[in-house]
Amino acid sequence: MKRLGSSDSLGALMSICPNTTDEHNQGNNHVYTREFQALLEGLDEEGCVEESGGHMAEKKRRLSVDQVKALEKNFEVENKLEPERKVKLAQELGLQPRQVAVWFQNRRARWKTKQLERDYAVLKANFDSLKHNYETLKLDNETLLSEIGELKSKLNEDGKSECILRVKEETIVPETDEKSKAETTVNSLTKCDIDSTHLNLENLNGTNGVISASVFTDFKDGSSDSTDSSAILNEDNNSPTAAISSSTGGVSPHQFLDLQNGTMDCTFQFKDPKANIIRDVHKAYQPQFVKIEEHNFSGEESCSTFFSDDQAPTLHWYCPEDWN
Amino acid sequence: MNTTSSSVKKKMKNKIRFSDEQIRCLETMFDSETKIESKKKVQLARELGLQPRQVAIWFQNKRARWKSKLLERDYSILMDNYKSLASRFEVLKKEKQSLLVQVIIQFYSLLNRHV
Repeated sequence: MKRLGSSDSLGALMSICPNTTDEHNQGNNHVYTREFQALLEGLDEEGCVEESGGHMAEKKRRLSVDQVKALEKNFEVENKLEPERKVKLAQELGLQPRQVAVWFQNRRARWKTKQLERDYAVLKANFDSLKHNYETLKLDNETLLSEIGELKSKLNEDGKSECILRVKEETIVPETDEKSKAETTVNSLTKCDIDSTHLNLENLNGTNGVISASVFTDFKDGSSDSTDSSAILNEDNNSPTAAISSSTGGVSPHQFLDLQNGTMDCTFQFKDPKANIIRDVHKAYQPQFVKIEEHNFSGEESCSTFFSDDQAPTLHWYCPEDWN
Repeated sequence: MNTTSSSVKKKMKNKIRFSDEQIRCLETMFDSETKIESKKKVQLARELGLQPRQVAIWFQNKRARWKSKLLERDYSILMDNYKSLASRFEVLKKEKQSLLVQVIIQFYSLLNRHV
């Protein structure tokens, strides 16, 4: 986008962009500024122009830097002008009231355009971010789907497979949403295993019943303690957390499936001694979400949608004591 | 940008509006190229009975107006795209949640096999 500045002499009339005062910085600035100079010289929508030879010298006189400064300051306070303010300002600055009015008119037009540029930039950023998240989410789902397929086929196998459930606690820190127009919300994850890749199934925005889950796949061989875990998933909309509690030989802290705000953390490790298949599930998921003020696209879904229709709302899963 | 000063005001009596014909020609030229070269400008000015400077300034202003319109249009298109992407995103999110449940169920089924 073109940068705006008061670099050339007539640009002082507009004094649009305070950050560029470089006299030599004509190249990028002058086009836009010149166009508004022309506007200020009195063209309206239909190309009304002063008669070629007939303008008075007075009309063409540029506003001084001080005059522009004063006008800008005034504009910041209130961008619309009442008659009394106009006259007062005109008197103060030694200008015709008409000049002040026209200046404000043009200034408003200018501001509107700038505002649109800003809005567009924000929207574009949001869009790109959303698109990125979308693509990631899509990949996540594909991965999950294949994961399901593999699990199902495993289920149909005759051979034994070792299943080790390691349940770990993990902190996910959601950033608070601010009211500002453009902000980024990034949820960070701490990795537990060095060699592990993780599927981060994290969703955006904790305010409306977000479920996050991390599924870790550990590449290391048999390094884990076998843990018994009795896992109870209890969907209860009233309580903030349901517990996957594990009673184990090792030290496995409590895991929580928090259907309201947040997180469930499980490590799934598969090791098939026959085929030595180690699951590889990887996705880096970066939910970046820049908010536009008038739009709130945070999900409205409640926790009740977490379970699909054919699932019971309360699931009880128990892992056997000595299954390893 | 769209505020128009009325063509008849005390201080603006030197101003004239271009004729429809003049504007039509200018618009046509603008459609082929938004910036006009010096030679063409002079020629066009002569054809239209205007000063070269008037033509130049008209082009300047026209570019500004045109740019704004473009931006407005792009913004609205982008907004539509954004909204549709957002709703698709939500769909995908729900899909993920249900897939997640399925994964867990499958896994635990597998575990239970070894009871």
